[in-house]
Amino acid sequence: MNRALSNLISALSTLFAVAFLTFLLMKIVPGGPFDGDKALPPEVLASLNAKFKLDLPWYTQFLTYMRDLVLHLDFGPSIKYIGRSVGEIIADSLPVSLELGFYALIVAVVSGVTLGVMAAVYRGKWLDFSAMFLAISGISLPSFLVAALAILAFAQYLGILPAALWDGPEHRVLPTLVLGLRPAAILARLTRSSVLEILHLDFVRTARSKGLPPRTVLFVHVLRNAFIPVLTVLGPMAATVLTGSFVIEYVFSIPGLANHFIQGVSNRDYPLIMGVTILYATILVVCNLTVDLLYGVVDPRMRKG
Amino acid sequence: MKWPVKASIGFIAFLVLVALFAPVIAPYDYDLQNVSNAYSSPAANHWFGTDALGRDLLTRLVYGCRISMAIAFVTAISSVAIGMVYGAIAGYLGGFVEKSMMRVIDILYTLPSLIVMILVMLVFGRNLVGIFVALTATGWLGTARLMRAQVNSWKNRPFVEAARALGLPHRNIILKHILPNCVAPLIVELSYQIPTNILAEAFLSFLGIGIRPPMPSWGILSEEGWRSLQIYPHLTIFPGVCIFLTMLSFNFIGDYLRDRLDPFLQGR
Repeated sequence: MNRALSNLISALSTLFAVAFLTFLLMKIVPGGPFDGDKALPPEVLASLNAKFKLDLPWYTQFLTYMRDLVLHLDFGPSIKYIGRSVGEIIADSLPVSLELGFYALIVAVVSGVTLGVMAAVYRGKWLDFSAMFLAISGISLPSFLVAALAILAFAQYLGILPAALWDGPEHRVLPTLVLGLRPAAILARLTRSSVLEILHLDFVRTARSKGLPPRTVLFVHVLRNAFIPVLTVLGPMAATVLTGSFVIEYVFSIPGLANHFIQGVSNRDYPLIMGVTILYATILVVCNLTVDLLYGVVDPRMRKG
Repeated sequence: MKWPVKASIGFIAFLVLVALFAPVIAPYDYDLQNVSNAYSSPAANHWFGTDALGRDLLTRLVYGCRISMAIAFVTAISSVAIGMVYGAIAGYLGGFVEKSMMRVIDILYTLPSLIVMILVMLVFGRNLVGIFVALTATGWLGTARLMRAQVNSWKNRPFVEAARALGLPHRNIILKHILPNCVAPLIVELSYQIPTNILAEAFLSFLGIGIRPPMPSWGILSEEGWRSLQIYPHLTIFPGVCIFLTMLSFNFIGDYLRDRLDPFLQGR
């Protein structure tokens, strides 16, 4: 309990620091949201700045922002999407990113762990070599190249899947596979080396010498232990995949959070940038806390202390 | 050494030569436009075809190699150097200093790296300086953690204690007695940092937030090609394949070095 509490406190202080750093970084960025092609009259600029509280000293701005965020979960108004709040934009686009990320994560975990276990069991055989060659290629492939090839093959040449947008189930297929490829490759490599390490340990030899069937040894004794290092990377990985990928959302024109963030950056939409960054950091922190709790489930030794 | 590693070393050596001698190798000028010959398919006078402005794609790939490799090498070296110094100080001093220094790393890790890169690019501008700071700012965290753990595991060994007992200054103990033992993992770290940075630069350019054209990097070439993907796919695929092969080679070399240099991983 003590450990969970101290984790929570350190997570909250991390988030506060992240908010502060992002805020500072945005204050250093030259140029403001109202530097359009034509200069605005000074009185209009002044009233706009007053409306978005940009005329106050920076620490007051930060404290007001944090107060609204913590007390009312209010991310403030968007500067460029007139009449919409950052909260509404996030509420619209976050589910899209989460859905895509969720599918991709499932694809990655299922295929990556399976491939890694098979490679470890058939160590040194052709299956191991081809699985690991696949995995190192998956890590090395830039996602836009995979996306380009997928679009050319399935959308243009075969014409069976759409090349972009996010309407029906058929729109989910290509982005999910392209987004899942790299995490799947990383998990496959990690699972393989983790399983190989466990296979050499004494308790596995004991289990084997007791005459247990190889299948039982693998699934009951090896995998449970081999999963611990995998779990460690799964936290940050889930956070990156769940929040969607900038490149994937851009390439497939998916109306997710990352696309809005890029819009926000080019528009200097400070509240939007702040909101999305804090949200990303929160998701990462939550994923890490979850993984921390899951350690105890997978490995009873970690429940105490 | 297995053949993929040998092939990878050969390929990287080839790329380094291409990058160094780009003006000699490139058949045309990288910004030479010939609109009447735009979107040419691969042909005898343009091996990889031409782009929307009739510029020779092979030439631009050769110069792109120069830019992408230069950015990746320089930023990888600077991130590893910064991480090394930071981690060494934290690990050696220990106690409260170490705790607070590592807390800073934890916080920075919580910021999504692509977001940090984008914001840094906004501060420093979309030029070589901007991309250098952006990639270094996000790249050094891993090395710092690694280095701290390394120094922690070495600083209480008897030979370091002996050096301390002889009254050597801290700086000498770190530089002459601890650092040489940490070189192997740092080299491995460097060999993984380079492909990471190649990819990060390509992503930034691809999203239109990297360095500005006409300076060609592989990322910029992919982005320019993407606009006409369904009609002229070679403009996206050639730069993409260049990035892929380079990343693949560095990853093969990195894996090889890790297996060779890390005694705990021997035989895995």
